[in-house]
Amino acid sequence: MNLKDHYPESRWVAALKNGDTLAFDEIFRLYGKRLYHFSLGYLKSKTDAEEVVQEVFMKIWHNRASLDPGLSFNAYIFKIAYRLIAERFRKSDQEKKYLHEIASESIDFTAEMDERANYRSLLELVERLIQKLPERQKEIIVLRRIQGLSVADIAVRLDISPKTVEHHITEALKNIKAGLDPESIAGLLFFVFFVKKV
Amino acid sequence: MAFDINILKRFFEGNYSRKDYIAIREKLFSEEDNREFRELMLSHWVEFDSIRLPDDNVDHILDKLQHKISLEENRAAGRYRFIQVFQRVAAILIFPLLLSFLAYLYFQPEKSEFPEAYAEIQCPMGVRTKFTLPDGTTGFLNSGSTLSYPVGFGKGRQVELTGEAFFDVVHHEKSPFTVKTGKLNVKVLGTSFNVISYPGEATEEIILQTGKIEVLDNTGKTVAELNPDQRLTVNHDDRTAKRSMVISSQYTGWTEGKLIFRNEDMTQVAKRLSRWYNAEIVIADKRLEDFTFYATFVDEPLDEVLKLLAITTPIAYSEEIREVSKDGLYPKRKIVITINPKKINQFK
Repeated sequence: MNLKDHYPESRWVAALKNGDTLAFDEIFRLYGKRLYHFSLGYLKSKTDAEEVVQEVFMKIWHNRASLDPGLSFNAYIFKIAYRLIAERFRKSDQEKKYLHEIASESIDFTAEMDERANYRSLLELVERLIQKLPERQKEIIVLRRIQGLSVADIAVRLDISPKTVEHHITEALKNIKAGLDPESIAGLLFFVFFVKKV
Repeated sequence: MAFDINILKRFFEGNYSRKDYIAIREKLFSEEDNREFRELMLSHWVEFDSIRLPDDNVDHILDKLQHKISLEENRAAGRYRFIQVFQRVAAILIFPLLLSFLAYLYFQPEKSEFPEAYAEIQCPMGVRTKFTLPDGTTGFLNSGSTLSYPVGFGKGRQVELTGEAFFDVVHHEKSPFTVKTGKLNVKVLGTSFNVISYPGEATEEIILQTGKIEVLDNTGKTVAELNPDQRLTVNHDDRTAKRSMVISSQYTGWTEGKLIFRNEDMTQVAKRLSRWYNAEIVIADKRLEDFTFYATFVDEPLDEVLKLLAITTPIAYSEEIREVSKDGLYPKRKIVITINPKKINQFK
């Protein structure tokens, strides 16, 4: 078998190496959708997944001269994609830090909760509870936890005393906690039970 | 210890626990000690080949890529072959890029010897445009808006706006940045803020995200000063100005393609949807004006948004059939919103 036939896409890769834009389109048709859904699974965000695909393919285009049609193109794409996915994952983790924090402060993560509750739905619930807070509490929790302002800064900005700010934060967290009672959470547990044999 | 592939699968499918999330995070955050994890992900990628993917379409990503590439190529070669691109790329993709490219040409340093020349950025309906001004100030122009400014900013930083724009102004102690709308002037040193001033509407709105701004009327009198997360609504009909606290990110989400509604009444929702999607949206039942709406949409097509609205609120909608006019053009889409009598009681 000719080395060139080893990978079905190698013909396109060779053409792309010479700057053929049609070959680029063809390679996108082979990998674009797959890469999009792969990234979406890890990033849970359509925008992020789309941007990963764009960045990967722009990199492929820019580095086309150094492509080697004899190597696995699949592995090459993965190498670029992995770094970009990890990068975006870290960014989104940082952006959602307040949700992780509020969740761990408000829920008693027993071993069971830690392993059997759907964490994604749990965070969504926390987010909904924040949105449902009374206007003033929501405003203050957003300033404090999402925008990261200090209690003193919030007090100055809203022209109220730091004590009042703290009071609103306590009340807000109390309200969130109330919405995370065992009954509401029960629905988020996976329906997989490890039943002990009697 | 070997990383459990089931954790990876559960996370990928979206059925993961906190423990799973933390395990994945630990691997994706670490630069070393994740070779094995990377190989697991690689085998997932390889195996992903044989999985049947959903029937959705990613052609729009290819369109964007082709466009980016042709821009880069043309810029590098100094040729401007836009025609080919025009034929292939949908307007929604090309306009923002084309405009920023033209703006790029405009701001070549050698052009700044004509200080009185004005540049204008027009954003067509249904599109948003990113812009960069000569001083480095960046921002977004929303659907159906126009921004004009002196090329080179020779005589101070003054821009004129009709419609909606978000500005992230570069700080210059000695040169204030002024946005002039129909009846107001927004004066800043260096901040980020959103201005809404569509012609034919009684109110103008200014929302401050960071920094400090001063809003003046067109005689130069101060209307108000704003602090971060404050909104100023000026009504020119009854000559009132109202300042209120808001979460500013809700008003700037449009720059990222997010359409955010926070307790907005249906009249407002219809108005914003009309602008965003360049369609005519009519509320046929007065009773609907009492309902408020709360939602965030990210890059959803109009049909999807309407479908979601119909599920979560007591509305029904229908689209009027469009007839080709004499000059061969199709008019805007027209959507009529009515009350869904079956669901109205659930929402009372």
